[in-house]
Amino acid sequence: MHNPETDNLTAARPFITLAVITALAVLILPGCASTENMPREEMAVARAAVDRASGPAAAEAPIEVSLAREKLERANAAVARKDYDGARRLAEQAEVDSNLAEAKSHSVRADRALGEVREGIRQLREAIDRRQ
Amino acid sequence: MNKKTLLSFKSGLSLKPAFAHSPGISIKPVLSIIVAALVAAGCASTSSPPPALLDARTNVSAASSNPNVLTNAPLELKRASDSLARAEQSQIKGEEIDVNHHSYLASQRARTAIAAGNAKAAEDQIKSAEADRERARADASARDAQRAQAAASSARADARDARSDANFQRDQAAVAQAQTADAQQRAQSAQRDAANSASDAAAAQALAANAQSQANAAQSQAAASDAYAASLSRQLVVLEALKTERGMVITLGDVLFEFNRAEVKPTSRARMSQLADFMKQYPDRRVSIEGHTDSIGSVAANSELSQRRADAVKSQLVGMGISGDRIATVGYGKEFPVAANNTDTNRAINRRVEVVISEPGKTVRSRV
Repeated sequence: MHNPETDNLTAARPFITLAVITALAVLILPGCASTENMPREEMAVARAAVDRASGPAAAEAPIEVSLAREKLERANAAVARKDYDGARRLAEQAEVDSNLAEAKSHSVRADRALGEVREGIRQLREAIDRRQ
Repeated sequence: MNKKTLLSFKSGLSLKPAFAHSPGISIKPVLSIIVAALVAAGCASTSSPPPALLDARTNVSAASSNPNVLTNAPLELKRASDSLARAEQSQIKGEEIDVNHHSYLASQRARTAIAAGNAKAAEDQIKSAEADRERARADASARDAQRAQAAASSARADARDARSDANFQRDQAAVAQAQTADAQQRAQSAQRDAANSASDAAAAQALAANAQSQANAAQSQAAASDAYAASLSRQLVVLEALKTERGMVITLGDVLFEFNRAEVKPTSRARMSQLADFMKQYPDRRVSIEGHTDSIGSVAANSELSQRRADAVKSQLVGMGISGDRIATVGYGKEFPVAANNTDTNRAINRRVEVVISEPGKTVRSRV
């Protein structure tokens, strides 16, 4: 769950923000964009997260999974039109959506397993009690 | 953490006008002013937080008060809190897009933290539940084993009981058999005793009866003897019998006969009848009728006369119903006088017939 790259990213965020703001200040007005600001890491992390969540988690958290996929697609689209800020935000949201889908799926499965184990124990106890 | 951010948000909000009027103190207010100036004049109103931020606050608050999250997903909670802090900062800065973005990230991360915390808690519970289940199974098998053991020991106890019952019953049967044998023996011996005593009793009774009858017989005999003796002596007295060594002797005097004749005088008939009665009464007695004469006349004449007189008496008795077998006659003539033949009186005494009565069942000895 813990990703050093995202940590580095978080630590670097004030500077990135500063850079973005500076870039905005400097570049937005002329209307030009640079691939230097392309959110490559965010996109990669989001893609991995969506892939992970698309597997078994899709059954238990379909809304989150489809949301994450959609956002990843939109992020790709944003990258394609060089809207790197939008792409980064969408990638980040796709990542947290995927993580949530995964955690929800995990939780639902754990609850289900717990219920099954408890039911099994109940039946076992009943069987034991009946035998006595 | 939420309260802290809320506090900073409030103070940020209240401090905002102060920043606006105090020129160039720190970099952030300066940047804010630059951004605000550059992006658009009417761009952002920072006064009311957007719904996404409110949601984020609620979600992060919920996550941070969830014990499962604190225990099991502290890192994800940290990320949510960081995102919320970024959203608050963006809100302060009036960066609406970033506010919404980080608020969204904060909300999703808070939810993720809650889900992860729940999942971990559930997994822990599964582990402990599985441990419970194993314990329950172990308990069950232990109980099964105990039950089996108890059943086995109860079966063993039953078997023991049955064995001891059987032994007891065997003992009882043996005792009963011994008692039965004993009782049988006793019954047999009692039967024997009873038979013995019965026969003893019968014998004793018979003996007693016998003795009684003997006694009775003896008594009656004695009575008869007494009576006999009494009657005999009475009749002998009547017959004027004299006891001699040859038996009782009745003398029929010459008064019975005429001189030189053998016929019994009719007056003597009473005496003869008495004698006949006596002989009828004592049939086991015999008599010897002996004729005697006086000394007058020849021996042969006297002997013949005495014989005739004896025979006359005998024929008289036979005429009275006495068997002739019981009567012997002899004529002794003048051989045995009872008195001297010198006077008439004496000679009359010598002319006589003597009847000698035998002892019962015997005959009369002859005179020598």
